Amino acid sequence: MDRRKFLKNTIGGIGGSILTSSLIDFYLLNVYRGMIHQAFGLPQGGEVEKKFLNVAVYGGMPGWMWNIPLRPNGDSDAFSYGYQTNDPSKSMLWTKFVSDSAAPGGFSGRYEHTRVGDWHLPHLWSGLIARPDGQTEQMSKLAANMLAMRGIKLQFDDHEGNRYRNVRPEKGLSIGGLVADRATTPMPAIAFDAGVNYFKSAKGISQLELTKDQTFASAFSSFQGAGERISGNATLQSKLDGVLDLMKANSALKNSSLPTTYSDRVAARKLMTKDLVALEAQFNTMKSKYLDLITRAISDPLLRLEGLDNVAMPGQVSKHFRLSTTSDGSKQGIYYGGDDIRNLAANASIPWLAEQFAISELMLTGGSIGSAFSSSINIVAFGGFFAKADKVYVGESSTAPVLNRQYYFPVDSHYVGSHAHLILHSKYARALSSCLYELITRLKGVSLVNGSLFDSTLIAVTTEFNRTNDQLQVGTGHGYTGSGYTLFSGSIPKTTVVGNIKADAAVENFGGTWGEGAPMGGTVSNGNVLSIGNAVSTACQILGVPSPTPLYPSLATRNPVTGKVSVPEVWARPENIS
Amino acid sequence: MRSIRFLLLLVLSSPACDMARTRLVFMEPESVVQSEKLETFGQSLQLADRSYVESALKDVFEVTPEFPEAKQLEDLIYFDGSFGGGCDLYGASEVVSGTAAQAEFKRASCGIKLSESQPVTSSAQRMAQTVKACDVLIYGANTFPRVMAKVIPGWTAGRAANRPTPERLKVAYALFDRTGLLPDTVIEKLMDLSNSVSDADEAWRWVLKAYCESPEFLQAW
Repeated sequence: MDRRKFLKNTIGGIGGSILTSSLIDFYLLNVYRGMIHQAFGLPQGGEVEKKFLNVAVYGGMPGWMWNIPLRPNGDSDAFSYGYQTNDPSKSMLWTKFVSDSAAPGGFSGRYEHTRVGDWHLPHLWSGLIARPDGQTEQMSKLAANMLAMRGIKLQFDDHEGNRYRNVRPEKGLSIGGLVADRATTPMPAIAFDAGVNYFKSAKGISQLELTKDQTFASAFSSFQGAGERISGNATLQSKLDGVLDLMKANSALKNSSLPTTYSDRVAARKLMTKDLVALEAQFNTMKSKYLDLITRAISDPLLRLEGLDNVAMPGQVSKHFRLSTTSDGSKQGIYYGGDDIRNLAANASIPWLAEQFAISELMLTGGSIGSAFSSSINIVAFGGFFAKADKVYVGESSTAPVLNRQYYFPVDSHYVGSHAHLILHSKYARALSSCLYELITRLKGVSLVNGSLFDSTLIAVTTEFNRTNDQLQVGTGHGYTGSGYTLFSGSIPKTTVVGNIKADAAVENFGGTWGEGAPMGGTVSNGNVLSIGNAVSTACQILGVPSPTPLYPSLATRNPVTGKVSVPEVWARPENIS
Repeated sequence: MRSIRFLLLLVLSSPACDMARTRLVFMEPESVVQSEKLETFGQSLQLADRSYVESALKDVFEVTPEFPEAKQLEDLIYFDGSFGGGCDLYGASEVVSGTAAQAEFKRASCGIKLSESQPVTSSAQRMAQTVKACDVLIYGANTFPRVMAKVIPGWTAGRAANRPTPERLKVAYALFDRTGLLPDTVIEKLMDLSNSVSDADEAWRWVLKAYCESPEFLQAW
């Protein structure tokens, strides 16, 4: 018997004997239930479907300015600026400038913190961020639903590898894949600059990769140009759907996964009848909004923070004002030489960040359609910005200034001097924070059955590693033995900091308490330093999906009734360990 | 698990495995085993790749290269990576911007929008492209007569006698689904659908839409 006949006879036999009317009714009931769940964004089982957004910052951000509080308990924390010197003026670990007439530019710096909730966060959190209505907002509000994990040991010093290990810690499943496997959204997973290594689903779902220059089109062009045939003659369309619903029920006997493909047809047809032109206009409006937020976060005088960018500091040809060596292709460096270091970031732009946040907002909220398009989103945010400095010197021995020079500031700031490092990274972190706050505000504005869309969404802001301290005050290294992992969700009820770091740390030639991981108490890591597996397990716990690294426990528990997460008492107080 | 770890150590202790030995730490073998266990619990359905889809539809509708429908079909199936398949080095370097449909050699391209190394699976994008492709063929001036001639020998357009019947519905369905199985309940629904359309040819178009948009005939066998 050939294969075709065998299949025909086998399935025909099953079809004839088993596909009774009661079975069809059973399938139809389940189809109906599925439609109900899909309409309300509910997975089978009734719980509100979870959404996951990973914002992976390219380059490796210095956590001590933003997401890794070095003294979360305030001044009582054991703390050292530099491993050998213990001298703030010889450290990169600054969050605030302090007046010092003997120091380059008349300013030195120190690690300063501010009280937010139960914790002390880096000085930047005492400042303002931009709002789309032209007003400002306290940045501390962003931390209201934040879980900051610190002291996470990554096993490798590797930009790309660590970036995707944050969401896919080993060869198996990714967080996004686990979420996509449960998704009922038309595009379960999308990616912006995040390639195949970031994503793997058990069901074999692929992530749709968006293109930078056609962000909206690359997501929705498949659904455009369907013509009137899709939306014409509602009666016949309804009858056609009835036929296919019945075929869907029948298909389950052939392969239990086949009904999924019928559901995808329904999702496709729904999207083909939507007003995508209006949706694209909404995307463009969102993009403009985020562009404005980014520009203002970097340059708006209203957002200037005391001890940071309210300081009119003159530059000079010294290592402290060194920008980078990448843009001129030599090691001689570029030095800021203008009268006001704030002009360093004039006209700064972070490529594609606005598009990334706009597509994330659209995909999660559904815009005017009000139904999420995607459940799992991976974006790799451009790490740094392009800007014009009013006056620079190219080369250490240069005496001829270059005016209005375009330059590139990389988050991966190996050669950036202490003064420039503080102000440039702070502006980048403020821009990122402004975008995050706006996105979260939009998510909070969408009401679901129990709470808001933000309650069922987890945003993970990750980067490749923290950065190490340099006592020579120029450049920072890869702090892969003490990384940060920051989560935002409505299910996180308050500002939370977890993870131990060393009070003194030395890696290679660098030193100081930059955040190198220290052993944890309890059994969470058997007295070891936190692993990326613990961070991933925590994210999965909040999302209610199984962890791809089950041997590394979650740092938080989730109340099954309220859906809120909390940190067990044993790890509730992060420590700096001498 | 012990035997797996022993094997790993044995393999990785060979001089040729320096790189792999580094990965041993990275992969953390015990966890890997657990991850793969998880994976086995997931349902998996691999659908036919783009070459199969193209050839299957061309076969049903007897699309020949000179038909304008041939190019329209190709543009839809090779529009992006939704149908997966066919990635090679030349394709990977060829398509660096725009859509695969804009590329000169579409069959050589990887498709830029879905990860080419992922298995070909169901998605809303794929189904949207399928719906469009079906429309091209069902409403095609060349392709509709071809498929109808297979169902009703001697078929000519506009004849009331050519209306769908249960037997003809089965013949048409067998063109799409190799199993040829079409339950009576589905036939009843199809008759109801076709009887709602006065024009015989238009009635067939709705039937063919149902067959063509039922995705299962394009699953990988």
